[in-house]
Amino acid sequence: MVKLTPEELARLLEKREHELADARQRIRQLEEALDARASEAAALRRISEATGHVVTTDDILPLIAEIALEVTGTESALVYLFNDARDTLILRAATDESVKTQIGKLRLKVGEGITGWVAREKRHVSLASEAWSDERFKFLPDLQEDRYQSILSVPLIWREECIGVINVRTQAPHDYTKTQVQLLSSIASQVAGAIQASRKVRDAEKSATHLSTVAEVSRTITSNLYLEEILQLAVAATAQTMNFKIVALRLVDEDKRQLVVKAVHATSKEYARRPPLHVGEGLAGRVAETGKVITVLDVKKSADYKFADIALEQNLTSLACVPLKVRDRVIGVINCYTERPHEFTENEVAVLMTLGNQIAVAIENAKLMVKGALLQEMHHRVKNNLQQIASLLRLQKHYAGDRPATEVLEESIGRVMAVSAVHELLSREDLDTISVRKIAEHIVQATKQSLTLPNKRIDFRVEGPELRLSSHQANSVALVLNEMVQNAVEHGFKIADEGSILVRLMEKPDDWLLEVVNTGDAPRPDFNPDKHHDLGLQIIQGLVRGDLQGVFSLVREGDETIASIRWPKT
Amino acid sequence: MEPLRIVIADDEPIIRMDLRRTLENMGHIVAGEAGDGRQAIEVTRELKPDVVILDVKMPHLDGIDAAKVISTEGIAPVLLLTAYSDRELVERAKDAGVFAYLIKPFKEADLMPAIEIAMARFEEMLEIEKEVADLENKLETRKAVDRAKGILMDMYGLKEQDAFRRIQVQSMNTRKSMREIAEAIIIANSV
Repeated sequence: MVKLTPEELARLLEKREHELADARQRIRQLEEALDARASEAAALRRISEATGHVVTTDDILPLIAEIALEVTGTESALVYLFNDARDTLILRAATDESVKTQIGKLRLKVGEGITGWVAREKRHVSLASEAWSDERFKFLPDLQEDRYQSILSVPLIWREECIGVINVRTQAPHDYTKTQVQLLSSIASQVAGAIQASRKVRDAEKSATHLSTVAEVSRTITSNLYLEEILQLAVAATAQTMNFKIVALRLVDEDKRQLVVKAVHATSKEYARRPPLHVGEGLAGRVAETGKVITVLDVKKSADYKFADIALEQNLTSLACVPLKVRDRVIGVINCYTERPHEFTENEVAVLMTLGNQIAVAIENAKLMVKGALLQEMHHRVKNNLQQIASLLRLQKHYAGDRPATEVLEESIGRVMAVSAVHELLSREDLDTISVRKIAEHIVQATKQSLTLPNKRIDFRVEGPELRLSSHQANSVALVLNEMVQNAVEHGFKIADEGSILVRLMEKPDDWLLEVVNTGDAPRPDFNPDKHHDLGLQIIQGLVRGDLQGVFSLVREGDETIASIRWPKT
Repeated sequence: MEPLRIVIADDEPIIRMDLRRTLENMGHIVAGEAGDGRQAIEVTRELKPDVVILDVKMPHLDGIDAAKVISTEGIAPVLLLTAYSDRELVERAKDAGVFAYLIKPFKEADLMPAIEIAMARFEEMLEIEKEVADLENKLETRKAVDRAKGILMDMYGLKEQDAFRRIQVQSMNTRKSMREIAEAIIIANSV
């Protein structure tokens, strides 16, 4: 066994003591590190919780600032993020009440001040005291930077790219330990990840609303909406989902080569009164001509913009004018206005173009559908009229008895002509109602021409106020009037050679009264229209009761025979 | 052929007149007329005709909706008169319980065969409905008798055949159906 000298023993002891002290030191350091890790873990957990529950950056950032403050034990925390162009840092969150008013307003260029330097160099800066004397320092009165001795500024790095900066500050001098710097850096990288994630969510949401706009417009193609509704829906959907102030749709009038305002989504009605533009004229005209999207940052400053007055009045700034194209044909344009200056991104223009195409297809389909519906309705009406004529002829056959065929046919022709008079009038006027006066004139004219009695001199007249009836009622009135006029000729002028037939419409307080007055022969005294089995009278009775809820009467007053129908006003 | 009592509904008086005259010439009776769908239902309910002729396009309630009500209530077979001839309408008509249809303008000669088809199909439907009700009753009877047999076998230690015989005898003695007897046993047992 080796004997140690007292000196040797003393040295050994001293050495052991040192080793022990080192070990104690290491343990302390490890303990500290452990603490730091623990609080880091807690902070990170809170960030993940925050980012898990809230999706927008504006919600996350104040939380991040609070957490940064807490874990570093400092007095003030600020978070800056880059703008979309990535050349300016914008203050997005702050823990100090006095600085919060600057959120969204305070801007720093890359390289400007300590924060700008950190963003450019992607390296942290840690200053323990008199931060204002650092050469990179830039005095910003709004941030009260001169009141803070210490600053720790850490870049937010996401996939090697700086997306912003977190700063923490203290008013008294403060030494930032390595662990504090590490802690803040680790928070920063988490934050960067969270922000990117939330941006992705926002982008996804944006494309989702864009897509649903497209889907909504597509749905209208398949639903049975008429053209105007489709146009209104298209502008409303575009305005709402993409946040435009005014959306106006103009369609090309092929005959006049003009763009006419067809639908507007706006708070004021003023825009809808804009006059048509010629194709080639103004911005919309150019889009219609070229089929290419035009965007303008400020229409008030554009020489090509035709409606500067309304832009001023309605406070319109940026415009995207998008063509509505079916295959390669431009059928119209859609103008999308914003209130604030807005640079339309490529993505937005692409969505608007897709929308334009969808709307164009919807419009084309609607036009076809309207045509189809009209055709269907016409088809139906034609068939119904053929049925009516077939019925008239069949009735005639049943009632004919042994009357001469020519006479029977004449009667039938008269009835078919009366029905056709209504259609003639319907097609001539663009309305779905027909004037009773005009029907009367038609029937009188047709009767005069077909009068087969050359030695009779009958004077025809039509008088009365204007009354318009639905095509269904007009049809019945025409048939009834035809029978009354035929009867007046046939029975009133069997013996008499001269006289007049007057068709007179009169308005009574509750009823309409239509009379056919003739000055010819009197009816036989035993004549009772209710008991008579003449087809003409059957038609009159059937139609007056069935369609007009009215009554028919025949009287002789003085030397006039008056056949009349009276039906209630609706 | 026996004269038929018929209700006709069309909003065009001329077409109604034609229908009436044509049907009456064939020896049938037009018992009632209607100018719209609602009226058609009322008149049909009141007169209980042998057949109803309905136009499709009528005010208030169209012919197909009126047909649905008339068919559901099982009052009379419906013959539909229509100016439309598209597939969709035919499908709707089928679902509404329309038994035959004629396309306007219709021929006099087509009217009677269409009425006969409508009536024959209606008859068929009534038969089937009766058959279904009958089968349902038979099924219920069998279920009840089986349960009642089980109860009797358990209570009196009878064989299946004897249990059945008892129910049968009871049914004959009381002049009640086997189902009624079986149900009575089941109820008595459950009390």
